[in-house]
Amino acid sequence: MKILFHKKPLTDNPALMLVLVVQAILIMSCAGRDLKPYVHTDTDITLDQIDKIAVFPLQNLSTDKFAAKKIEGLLIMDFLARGINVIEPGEVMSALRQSNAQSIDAMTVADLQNIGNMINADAVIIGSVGTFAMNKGISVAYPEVSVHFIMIDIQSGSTVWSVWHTSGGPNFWTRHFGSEGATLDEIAREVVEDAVDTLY
Amino acid sequence: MNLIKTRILICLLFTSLLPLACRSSNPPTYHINEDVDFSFIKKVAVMPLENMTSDKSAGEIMRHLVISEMLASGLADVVVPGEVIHAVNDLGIKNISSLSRKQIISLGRALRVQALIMGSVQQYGHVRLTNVSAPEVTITLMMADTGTGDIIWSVTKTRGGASFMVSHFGAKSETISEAALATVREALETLSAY
Repeated sequence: MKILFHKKPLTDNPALMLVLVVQAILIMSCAGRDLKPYVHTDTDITLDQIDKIAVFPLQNLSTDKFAAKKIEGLLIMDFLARGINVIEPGEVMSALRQSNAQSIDAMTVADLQNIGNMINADAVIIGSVGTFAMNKGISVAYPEVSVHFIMIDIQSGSTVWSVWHTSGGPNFWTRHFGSEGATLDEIAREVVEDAVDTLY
Repeated sequence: MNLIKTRILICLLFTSLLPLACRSSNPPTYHINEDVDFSFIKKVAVMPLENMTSDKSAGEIMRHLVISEMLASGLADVVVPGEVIHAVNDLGIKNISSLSRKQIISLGRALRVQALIMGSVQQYGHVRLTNVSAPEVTITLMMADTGTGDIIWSVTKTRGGASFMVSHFGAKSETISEAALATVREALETLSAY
C-alpha cells in the first residue's frame, strides 16, 4: 500500500498506473450481458418417459438458407451424444410427405401427434433459427446464432420444454487486439449444447 | 496542496463518468387494466406480429421470443404457433394486424385460449453511430381478453444504441439477438410484476 500511495504525482507512480490500466482492461473485457436460457418444463411429464425424439425441420428465419438444416444436424448430434434415441431425419421427412400437413409453420398439435405416432416418437422438436450469420460491425466481424426449440409430448400434445438461446458477438479482445474469436460453427455448436443442457 | 487538488479532480471526473456508464435503458411504456383478474388467463395464443421493419423475418423472430419468454416466465401456457395459423385460415381472417372484437372472440373459442397476444415490431436492426454500430429493437405488444374482445394490457418497449462503455471504451456490445431478448423480457416484466 505504501508503494501505491506515497506522496508523488499520479503520473510518477508506475505501480498505481499499471494497476489502473489493468483494472480498466479487465472491466472492459468483462462488460456485456450474460443472458442465460430460460426453460419451461411441464411437471406432469417426466423426461424419463421420453425415449425417442424426432427433430422436425426448423423454421429458418435467418439470412443463411441452410441455417435450419445445420442447426437440425447439430441438435440431432447433440441428442445422440447424450445417448438419446433420435429418429432418422429421412423417416421424419417421409412421414411429413405422407401426412396432409400443408407446411411446417402451420402444423397443429393433432398433425404433430399423427406424424409422431406414424414414426413411433415419444416427443417431437419444432422451432426456429432466428439468426445464423457472421455480422459486420464497423471494425470487426463476429458470429451470431439464436435458436428456439419447443418439445411437444406426442401422447398428451402438451409443450414439455421450450428454450430460446443466443450466443456470439464481438468481445473486447477481438475488437481491439484482433485476437481470433470463435467461428460461426463453434458458436452454433455452443448454442445448441447450452440449450439442450437446460433439458438434461 | 497540488497533490490534493489533483486527487480531488480525479475523484470528480470519476463521479461524473459513473452515472453515464450506469445509464439504464428506457423503461417500457405500458397500460394494464387493473379491473381484470389476470389469474384466470391460463393459456394464450401469440398472433403473428406485424413487421414494420426492413428485416422480413423480424416479426417471426420476435414472435418466437415472446412465445419462449411467456412459457419461461410461467405467466401462461402458449398454444403451438402452427395452431394459430391454422385457426386464422379456418376462420378466413385476412388481416391479422387489425382484428375486430368479433374475430378476437372467435379465435379465442377456436384456440381455447383466454387471451390473444398481438402487436408489432417497429425497429429491428443496427444503427450506425460515429465509431460503433449498435442494435436497436422496438416492440409493441397487446393482450386481448377473448371473452370480451377488450385490450387488457399493452406495452411498448425500445432498446438500442451504444452504452457509454461501448462507445467510449469499446466494451462488449449487445448483439441484435441479445437486444431483442432483453426487449421482450422487459416488456413482459410489466405483466409479471402486476
